[in-house]
Amino acid sequence: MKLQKDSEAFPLFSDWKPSEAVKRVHDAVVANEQSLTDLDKAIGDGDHGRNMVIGCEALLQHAEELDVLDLNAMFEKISSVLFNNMGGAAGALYGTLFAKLAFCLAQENELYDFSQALHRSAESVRQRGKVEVGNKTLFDVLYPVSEFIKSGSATFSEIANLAEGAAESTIPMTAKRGRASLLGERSQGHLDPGALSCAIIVRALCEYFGEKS
Amino acid sequence: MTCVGIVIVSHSPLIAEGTALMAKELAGMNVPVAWCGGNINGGLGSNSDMIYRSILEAWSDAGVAIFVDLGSTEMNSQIAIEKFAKAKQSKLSIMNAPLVEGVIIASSRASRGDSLSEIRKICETI
Repeated sequence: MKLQKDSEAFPLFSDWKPSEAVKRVHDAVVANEQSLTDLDKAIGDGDHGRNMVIGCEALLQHAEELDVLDLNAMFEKISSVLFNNMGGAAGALYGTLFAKLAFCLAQENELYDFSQALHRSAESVRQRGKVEVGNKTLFDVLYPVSEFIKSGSATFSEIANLAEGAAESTIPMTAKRGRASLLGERSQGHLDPGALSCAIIVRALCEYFGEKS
Repeated sequence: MTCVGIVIVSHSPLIAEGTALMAKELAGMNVPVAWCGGNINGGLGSNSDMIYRSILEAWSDAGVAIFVDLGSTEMNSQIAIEKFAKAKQSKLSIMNAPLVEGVIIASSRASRGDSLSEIRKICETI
């Protein structure tokens, strides 16, 4: 997926706005706050839903600024807003993801390969969280999604479906990272809240960009 | 004598502040001690920007030992460290030790002039 530095050309559509994408993600996360909270109460400390809403609200406050920035500056801004406003592992991991996206895009000239940048950014999340696929975390969704996008053959609805399937796949897993790992085998049988919120974000973005394509 | 500085990062501001009080008592005047804890809304959590400022506050040319509790405090501390210039980063180290016990031992060791690597080693034995 090649795209131009000017955010108006990302990803190949002319009439999208970062503020609209942020709003869609925000609304989807807010609509699911209670289920994220309930899942996190089962295997974590119950703050994941609130934390994700806080992050989305902070992004919404900066939404108009995001619209006027170049892509790499936009991702940098998203990263710093998440680092500064979202507590917990999610803030650190999503902040890292967007910081790496910004870094990757700033390295290139006029044309970017967004799918490569996304894949490298997912790798940076792996390093930051010391996490692997199968550890029952958001990485179980993020990584297969980035691989699928890199394959170049994915449609938006397929990406969203893959993300949701990947989130479901965390149910039987034993948590190896994060608070749920303290529960050991008792974490089995629960959907990981971080994986679910990642799938919710992917679905919201895919629906938005699907409408724009 | 330039002593190693100590930064205490907890999900809970109460734990961080309480542990810092103990550290200051044990370490005396020569050991810079800083703490942070909680998210920007006053709830439990951690934040890389607050950790960054705590590291600046406890900065010492002998290095800074950073103590954390849960996983995201470690991740956010790593992010805070990466804000520093590469040459400065080598003077910053996240300790692999239980928070309270580690800080107690490190405070007294820092006050007698132990190096960062000595403190790191002793912390790993706790």
